[in-house]
Amino acid sequence: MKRVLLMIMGWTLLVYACSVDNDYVFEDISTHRLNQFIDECDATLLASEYGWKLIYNPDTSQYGAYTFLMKFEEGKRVKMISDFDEAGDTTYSSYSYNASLGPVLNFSTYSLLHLLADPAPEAAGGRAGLGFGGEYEFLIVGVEDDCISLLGKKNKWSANLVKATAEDWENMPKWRDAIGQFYIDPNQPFYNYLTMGNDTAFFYYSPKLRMAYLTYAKDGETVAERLPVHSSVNGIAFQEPVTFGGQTFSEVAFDRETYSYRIVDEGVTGHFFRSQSNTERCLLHFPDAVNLAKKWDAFSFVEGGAPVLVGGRYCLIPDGHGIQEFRFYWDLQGECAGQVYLRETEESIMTTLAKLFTDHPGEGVESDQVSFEFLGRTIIPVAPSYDTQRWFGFQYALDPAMGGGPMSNFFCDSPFTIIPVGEQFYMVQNEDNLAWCLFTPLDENN
Amino acid sequence: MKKWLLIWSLAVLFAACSDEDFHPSILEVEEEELSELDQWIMDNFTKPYNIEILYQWEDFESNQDYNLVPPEEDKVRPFLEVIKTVWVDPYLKVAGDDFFATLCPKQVMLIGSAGYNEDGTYLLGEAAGGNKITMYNLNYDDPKSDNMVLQYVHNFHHEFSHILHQTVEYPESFGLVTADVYTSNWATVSSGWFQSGCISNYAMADADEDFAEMFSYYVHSTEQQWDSYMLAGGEKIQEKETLLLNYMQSVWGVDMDALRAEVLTAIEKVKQEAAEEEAAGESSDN
Repeated sequence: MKRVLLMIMGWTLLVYACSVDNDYVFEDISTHRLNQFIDECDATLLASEYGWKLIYNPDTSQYGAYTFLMKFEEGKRVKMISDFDEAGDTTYSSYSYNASLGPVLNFSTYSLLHLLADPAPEAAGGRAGLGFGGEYEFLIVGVEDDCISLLGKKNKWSANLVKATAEDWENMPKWRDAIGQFYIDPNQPFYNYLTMGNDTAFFYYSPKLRMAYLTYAKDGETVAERLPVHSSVNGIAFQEPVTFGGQTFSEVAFDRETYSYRIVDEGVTGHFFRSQSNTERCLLHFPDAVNLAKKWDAFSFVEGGAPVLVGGRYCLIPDGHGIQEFRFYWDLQGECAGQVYLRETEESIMTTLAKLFTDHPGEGVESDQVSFEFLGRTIIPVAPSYDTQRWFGFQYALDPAMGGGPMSNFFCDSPFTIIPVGEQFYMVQNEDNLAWCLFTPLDENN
Repeated sequence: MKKWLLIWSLAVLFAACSDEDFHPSILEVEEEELSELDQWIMDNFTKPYNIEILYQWEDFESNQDYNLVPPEEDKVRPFLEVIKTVWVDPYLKVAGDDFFATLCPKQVMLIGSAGYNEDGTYLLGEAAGGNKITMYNLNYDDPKSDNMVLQYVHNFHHEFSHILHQTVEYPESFGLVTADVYTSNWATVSSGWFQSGCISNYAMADADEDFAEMFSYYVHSTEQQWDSYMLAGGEKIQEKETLLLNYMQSVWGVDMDALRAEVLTAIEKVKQEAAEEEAAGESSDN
């Protein structure tokens, strides 16, 4: 009987234990709330008549912004156009959601947006293995009627989908053209200067990287600013207003008739002009230029391209005839004697000792194009001198299938910073942060 | 007494639960309508062979060591058509339905780009756990071009052979024949692999890759080509050839010569179909 009583008491306690009212902080369980949030996001995306505009900085440390227009449709389909796509194609792809790390918007099949994430250089000219650092999976952090706030799933950089207008779709070809026009200058694409008041700066713009570069002297030192931009109807708009020479401006246009830049902002008096000066002379504008020539011995540069015999020396011209890849090495403790590493096919790896020249190779070439003389040729199984840490080099693969991509640097024991500013143009900053050089390929018209 | 006590207890228990509100299921129970592509995949791979084709991006299914992108949608079906012809059909004919249904990977994941390694090499395919094959680099060429067909044939048979040896190991002696030449620096080897007793430089990576490369080259090389490889590779590669053929016959009952004949026929079939499609396209353009 005692046992029975104990059982009754036990059951009673159990029942009372279960009958306590719980006060829930949330109205619903987390999965339901997550799904509800995703449903709300999807309904908002679908509701916009003209879709959404994304001005997207894939990697804020290296690139400006690329503009996309997206129209989300039933069946989890998305129509997309972009100013990054020279052909002006429209892609139709799929999107989906998942809730693995919170609500995630996933552009799940290939679209124009993937060009920025594509690790294949042949896709859009990004770096091999990295692309432009773009993403196509985004955490959804906020949903409003006219703005969906996103964060890249990997790098957590923000990206906002803003409700697009009919005008945006009309403007896309103009944005695309404006970006493209900056690239068309058959006469002299590189040496542009901006003068504002008493100050003058060297100006360069890379349509591919969506980055403008302003280099000028200030307080006895050379300052090099990188200015992220995105396309505008006139040309390029700086993502942050630029202050130079005591004035501030935010948009630059390109005049196709005169092949010149102009500031769009009203009341700003600065103007751009072109110079026929080559890079070496151009650097004479800067305080450390006197010493620069000396530095070039151990601080030289190189450019990718097939070697062509000009004026008794070989000159590197980026046309890819026969040569698949270049690698260039400088012995940091030595003088102006580099090694040029040529890779003609997958099976053939050659390196050649070369005497490098930074002056003009001779008649018929009016450029600061690097040139060299072959001193001999040996076949090596692997790249030289990795262990000594004495070598500096970077590579350029003409054929993306050979790997390496437009540029990757290696063997660098950190006296240099190399910043790609175009498809084959590099800025190199030396250790003391004073000297900047812009290295360019041979002008095709020469 | 006990009986009444039990009834009373159950009554209390049910009473305690009677006010509970049950939420709707947290699982997604709505079936999404299949796209034309999804339906084709369902009819040609999922229903007949229980193979799930993952072509829409699923991050957690992908190799986290690489930056990758999903395939272009219009590359998926042509790729799968090629794979069905050069991989599925030859096994069905030579090894039978049971062999294929048992051993075929249950998931095939398709990736648009290659996996780029820092040493300049690429990841083009991989097999995992005996049940999944991932194929890379779909986006950058016509899936039915001669080069790509050969690449797919090579990669898919290569990866499938990994599933075979992951299921039943090849003889240990296979890995010992050229154990001294295996190197992690295989990518820097630009020539001389035959002299080392290997079919390719990738075969010098390790015994598993050696096995898979031997397997794959065997099924897509003509007899004449293969004989020239064996001649160039000498005794060591010939010893591995014997071990490979015996393993396939004794463990799986697969006659590699018959499989090779089917694969070569399939490759020609794909090429012929591609040529016909191209001709039809040109005539419609005109």
